[in-house]
Amino acid sequence: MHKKELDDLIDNGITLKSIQVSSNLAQSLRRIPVTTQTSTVLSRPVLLAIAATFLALLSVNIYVTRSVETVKSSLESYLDFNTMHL
Amino acid sequence: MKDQDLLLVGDTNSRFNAIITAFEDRVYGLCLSLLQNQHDAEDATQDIFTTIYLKLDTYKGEAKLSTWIYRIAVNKCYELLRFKSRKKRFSQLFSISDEVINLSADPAFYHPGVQLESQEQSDLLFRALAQIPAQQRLVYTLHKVEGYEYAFIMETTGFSRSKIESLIFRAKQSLKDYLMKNYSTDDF
Repeated sequence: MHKKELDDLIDNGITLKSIQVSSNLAQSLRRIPVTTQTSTVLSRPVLLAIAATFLALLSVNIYVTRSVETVKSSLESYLDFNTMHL
Repeated sequence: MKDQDLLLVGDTNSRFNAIITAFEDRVYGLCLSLLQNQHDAEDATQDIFTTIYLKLDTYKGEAKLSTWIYRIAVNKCYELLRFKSRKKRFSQLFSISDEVINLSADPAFYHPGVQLESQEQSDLLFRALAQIPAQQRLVYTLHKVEGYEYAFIMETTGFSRSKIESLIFRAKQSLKDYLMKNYSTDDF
């Protein structure tokens, strides 16, 4: 292409005719209210459920750890007591 | 029907449907011109209309509806262009071979809005636009491909008039350098 033609192309740009979206895209755009509402409605209970499960597991973990420690210290005291009196 | 009238009819969903009908082709065309990739343009259009739907109730009519919609569209496309150019720089930096990987344009890109008689020139221009910085590409495409006036570009991009003029000047220089180097048949 000649320099003059390239200069004209750069200076003037191009003219596009109007286009249409594909039927697939048009359909998915019209589903946005449904998909957006579904994801908003679903995400809240799911997040709450995850948070509740996490807290429950944490409580169980703390409870078990404490119980094990209590049993351990009781056993140690019992063994110490018996060892002293043997 | 005027742009603003679309907001007066019915609930959020029916207003949103009216906006889709009025703007889907223009927004998709803009995304396609800027991103030069059909899949990226479709994804961007989907994201843009999702944002419009989520923000529709917060729109108070300070700007014209079309300006508000194009502002969302331009911001989304600019964000994607910047992401692509960062990805391109990163791939060049860590490329083992000297071959440049061009991530910013689909090599088989075809814009359905291009007139048959200007097919060759359009291909060249789109190929050259894929090589220039994101801001220059954005402003040049809005003005010289999509045909928007400076005032509209100022409103949608938030850039000042002098910045737009400077970006268009630099875009022309970059395009000229690229096209003269690669496609000129004249000797210098």
